[in-house]
Amino acid sequence: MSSPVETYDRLRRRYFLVYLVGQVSFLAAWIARLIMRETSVLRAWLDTAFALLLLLSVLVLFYSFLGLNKVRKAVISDPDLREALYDELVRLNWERAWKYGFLAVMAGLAFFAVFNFLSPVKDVFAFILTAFFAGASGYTFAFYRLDRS
Amino acid sequence: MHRGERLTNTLKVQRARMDWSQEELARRIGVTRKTVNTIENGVYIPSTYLALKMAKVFEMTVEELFQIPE
Repeated sequence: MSSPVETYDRLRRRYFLVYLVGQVSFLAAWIARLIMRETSVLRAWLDTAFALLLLLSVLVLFYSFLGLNKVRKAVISDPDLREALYDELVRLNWERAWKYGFLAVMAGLAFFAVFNFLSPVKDVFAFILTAFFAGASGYTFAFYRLDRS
Repeated sequence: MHRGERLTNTLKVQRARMDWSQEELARRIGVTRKTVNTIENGVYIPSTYLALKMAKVFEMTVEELFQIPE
């Protein structure tokens, strides 16, 4: 039987993967919908399909958020668990993931600039929001990869 | 840990000497088994604090546990 540290570490990683899937699917649907809307090829039925996908992604995010919160509550109430599950490698990986999140925001803004050059953007706010979503997903993805490596 | 930096270590040997699994060592120094694994495989260089904690549980010096490869 594995120790509580390993059990919670596995549980945390599992919920984190679900969180990542939710974020990536949300981002993919969001970007696809945004580009189609900007290029005026978004049909009503497709818009509904994207709305459903976005809703589903939000539900997945909510489920993973509840799971991660449950793990966090259990971990912070036990000093030994907290020390082990927030050890220096985990903290280092969180810090390193920030760099990738920043790069993802930059990539999002660069994409926005190129897109705007080819076809002037109508909804600037949505594009800037997308760059931040990309940053959040880049951060999550980087942490997940660093944690697995 | 910077690119190109590397340390060799005798963690596996010391663990075998004490008959400890990675999980047991992790429990004794307050980290996850994965952290012990990455240190043992030279993927991650621990902080001075963690290296000292490891040396303490094995009752040896840090230099005996970690070495800079020639």
